[in-house]
Amino acid sequence: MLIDPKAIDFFTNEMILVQINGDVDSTTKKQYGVQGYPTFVLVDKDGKEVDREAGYLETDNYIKKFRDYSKGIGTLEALLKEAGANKTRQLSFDIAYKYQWRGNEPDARAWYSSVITMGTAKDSMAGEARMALADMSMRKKDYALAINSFAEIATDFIGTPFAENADIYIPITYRRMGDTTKAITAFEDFIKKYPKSEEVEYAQKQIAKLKGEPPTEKK
Amino acid sequence: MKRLLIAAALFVGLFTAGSVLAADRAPTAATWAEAQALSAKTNRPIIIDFYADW
Repeated sequence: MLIDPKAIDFFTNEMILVQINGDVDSTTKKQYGVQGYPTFVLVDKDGKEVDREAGYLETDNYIKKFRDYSKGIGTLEALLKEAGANKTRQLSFDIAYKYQWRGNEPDARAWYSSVITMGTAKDSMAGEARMALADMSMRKKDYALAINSFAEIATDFIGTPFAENADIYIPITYRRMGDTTKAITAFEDFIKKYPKSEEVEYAQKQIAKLKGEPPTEKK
Repeated sequence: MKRLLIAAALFVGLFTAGSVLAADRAPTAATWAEAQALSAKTNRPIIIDFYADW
């Protein structure tokens, strides 16, 4: 994105870009609660966050978002103000998402929980919110809660992409907690349950890795 | 003299190539302090790009 002429113009005339290697400068990374890479944080001259975007965005969308944020449009502060006047489910979701990517887990949890209670626990927005909650538990190393949450989602959303997504996160969580045996079994269960899934190849690779097998060449 | 001209041509060539390369990427402030100074001077907001070497 940074080699796109539009981005070059944007960072030449409208914004100032500074790059920080999060693995090297872990203090600044921690200070801004960076959850993954890349993360772009718009700050004022004192370094106070205005808003952020995590992950890759198409250039036009990126420029629009940051232009809006610099004008106070669509920022967390603006959304909170809007929700104060009219709290909708979508607004609650957007606020939760912003808190999640700022590394503010308690507020993210509270707003995602609102999303669930404001609708039915089994609709698509609730599915997104429940996946986000489970993912936060996993990242927080609350593995038992994470596995339980993913398993509940897999049951409640059976036959939908949420179930498959939740089911692949169960072995991933076991792997993160260092339980190799359960991770292998859960990856094998996943392949049996979803033999046509796009994640099968990934699951097979993980099983081989966990068993210490050398990587096989793709035929 | 010929050697001097070749050296000068090489220098100009390398300098031009360097400038083109530099212009092919969004400009970045080298440090946070430089970004702050530029922001104060130009009134432009700062975007921090957190990245990792993968």
